[in-house]
Amino acid sequence: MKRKVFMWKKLIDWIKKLWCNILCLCWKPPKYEPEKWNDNNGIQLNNNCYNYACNIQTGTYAQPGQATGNMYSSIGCNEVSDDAVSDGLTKQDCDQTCPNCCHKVALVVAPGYDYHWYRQDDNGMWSHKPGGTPATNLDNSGNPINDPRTADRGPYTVFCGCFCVCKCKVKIT
Amino acid sequence: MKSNELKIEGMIDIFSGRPNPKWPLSNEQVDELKTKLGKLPMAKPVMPPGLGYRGVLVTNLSKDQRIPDGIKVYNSILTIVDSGRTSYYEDVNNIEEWLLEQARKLGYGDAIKKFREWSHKSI
Repeated sequence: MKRKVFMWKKLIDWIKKLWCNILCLCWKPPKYEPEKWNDNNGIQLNNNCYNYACNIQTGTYAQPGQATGNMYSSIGCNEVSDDAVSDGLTKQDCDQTCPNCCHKVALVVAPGYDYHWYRQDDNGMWSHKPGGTPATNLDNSGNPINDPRTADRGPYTVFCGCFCVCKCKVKIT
Repeated sequence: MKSNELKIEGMIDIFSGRPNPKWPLSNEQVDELKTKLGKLPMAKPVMPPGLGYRGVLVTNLSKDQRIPDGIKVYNSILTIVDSGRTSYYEDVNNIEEWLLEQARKLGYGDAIKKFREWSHKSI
């Protein structure tokens, strides 16, 4: 009986992956659509910068590594990067593009205190969602973000690097 | 949950990735807050920065009659939401510092100091 359940679960996972990969054929990088996140209620308040960067609304204030049981014990570039990689993100040179079906995100930290993520939208510009506040395409100085490395990031002074978020391969909770 | 259980929460709106620090307000603290909310002059709203310290919130989850539904205070300006109506007041009774002091006692003093410095540098 247990074996049968296991086989069914495997089959369902395989079908889900196959379906995801089929959808991926017509995939495009995320559009900047703040209205999908800024409801001043459940969606906005329960999805953070990591949700927004991955373009996945879990409603759980997702934490890097939580889905794989590898959540950080301290806040630094290495710790949060490793946790994100365990969720399925892949490290990428910020000046290179991500493969098809993937979009680029960037990690910054306020060492010892907190981390923050940005994502690159289909227009090449970057946007972000600071915690439970509205998603925006502006930095802390009110300027559009064409590169998170040079944007005003407030206390998130350390730029850690870029990653690719590939549809069908990332799981966050 | 008992129907008369007090559930009023303070929260510093400070982090982006990690959950913001929260703590429950005691019955005595709610009484004190009610007094501090007494007579306040009207003010114009202020916009906190995206990243950094964005203020302190009090959420009245138990709909206690002594205080409004929601209070946010940033840079000495109070935003009060009650019955769907939003009003702005000057924080002449220093509610912001009073709430921050509660958070400092819970061990968030360093984070408040660091993130507040940056929010003052931003717009």
